[in-house]
Amino acid sequence: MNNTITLLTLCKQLQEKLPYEIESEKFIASFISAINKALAKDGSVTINGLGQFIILKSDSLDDKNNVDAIRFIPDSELADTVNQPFAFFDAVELEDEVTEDELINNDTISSIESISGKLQENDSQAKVVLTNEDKLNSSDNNEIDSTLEEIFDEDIEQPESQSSCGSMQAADHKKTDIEEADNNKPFVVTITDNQNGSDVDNSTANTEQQETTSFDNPFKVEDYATDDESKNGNNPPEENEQYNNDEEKEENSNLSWLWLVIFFVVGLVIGWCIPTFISNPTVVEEVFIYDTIYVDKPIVKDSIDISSNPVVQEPALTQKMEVQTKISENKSEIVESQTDKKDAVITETVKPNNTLISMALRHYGHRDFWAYIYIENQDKLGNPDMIRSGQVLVIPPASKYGIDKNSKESLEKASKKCKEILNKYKK
Amino acid sequence: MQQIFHTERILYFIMNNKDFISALSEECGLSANQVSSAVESLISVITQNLKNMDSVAIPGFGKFDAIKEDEKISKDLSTGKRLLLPPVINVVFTPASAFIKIFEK
Repeated sequence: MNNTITLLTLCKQLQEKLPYEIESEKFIASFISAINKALAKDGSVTINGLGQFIILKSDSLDDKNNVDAIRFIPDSELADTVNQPFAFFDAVELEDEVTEDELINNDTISSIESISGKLQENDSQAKVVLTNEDKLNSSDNNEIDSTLEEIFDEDIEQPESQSSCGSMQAADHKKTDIEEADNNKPFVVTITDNQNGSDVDNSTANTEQQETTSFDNPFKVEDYATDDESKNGNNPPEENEQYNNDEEKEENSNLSWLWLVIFFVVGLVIGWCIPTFISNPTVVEEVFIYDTIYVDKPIVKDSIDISSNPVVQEPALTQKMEVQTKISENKSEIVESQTDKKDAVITETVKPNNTLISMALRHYGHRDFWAYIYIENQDKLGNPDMIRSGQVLVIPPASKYGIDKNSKESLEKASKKCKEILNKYKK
Repeated sequence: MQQIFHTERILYFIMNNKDFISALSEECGLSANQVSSAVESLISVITQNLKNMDSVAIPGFGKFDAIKEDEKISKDLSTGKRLLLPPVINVVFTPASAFIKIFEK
């Protein structure tokens, strides 16, 4: 790879194929002269399997600068065989979003294998192609050592025109230097795998590999690697609009996006949970207090003015009351003192699972007094068992009906009333 | 039969393969069959080297290179559409200066 085949090598290679009576050197010389003559005569030659040589005359008015050029158009067969690694790639129409930045030459495993396969077929020079994948896969350096030893043991042709290793300088490389030095010893061609990294990675991989062997390499390994890259070329990418690298990058970026989203969601959840947990105590309180809503005096006025109409009480206001009344609820005396029996109108909004009985218990101290609550609100209520939540009931003051939990009479009276009402509706 | 080939501004007659083989056989003193098979083997040798990305340098004639061109975006001016051209390995012949000078007369 990237060698220059001299005339000598060419002759040797050719002589293997020619019958022994034809000398390859002579033949090549006559070949050239034939082309010469043909071009001189007609200006162009076609050679089947090779191509066309055409003289192009430059159209300059100045005769002195009239330099001709010889154009070579390779035969289609020749072009195809040489282009075989990229044979299946076609030109692809680009969409507008694709920019040149995305043109990163990437490897496909198949192309690496095809190139490495071809190189291994070549018997004239000992070459070993190690891909980055191989290096990564072989965790032991021992494997690499063994393969390199095999190379060293083989006999290698030493072209005469090439200089020795020792004369090579590490610092300044030119292409010819590397080529000459390369021909002196078996070199390890590393086909870069851009998926795994940049030049740095490759160079480090190279250094690892080279250091493990007693390989007298005067080159800087980084240069070696980079030159290899530039010459060998980056291996053919997939000619789809999505490249391997892009795909992987996309995958990586997708993964990182996924993590971002996950953390965001978790943060949201935590943010939602905290206030609910903080405010839970009050929620518990609310649940407690929902049963009784006491109207405070300022609001009482409103309720008196429109006492005939049900007063819909705003929960916000009542919550505040509730906090206060919760404390007072435990002490029923204070509750009673707060509510003026005679003047204040106590209303109660029915909550789910409220019963008249529970209300009576709360307000009057005995279950049976629910009858009076019922009577008071008879216009609103039908079946005493079926009170709907949201209904606002007026709780009569105890004195209205002579409600006294302590007196036997009122208890008896109340129980009678209960039975009356129940009988009405259960029939 | 000679083919007529028009390049850019100048009309050329291209010597075809048969004529070339016959000229070469005269040059070598070999039969046309031998010559053509020899030419084929020469071409195959060159091709093999080019396949391995080695350049074939013949002094006094020129150098055959296998040069890889990276993929590039070409713009079709008429339609404004952009094409992604795949990478390609081209065979390039650079004639030796001595060779060109012969034709500079």
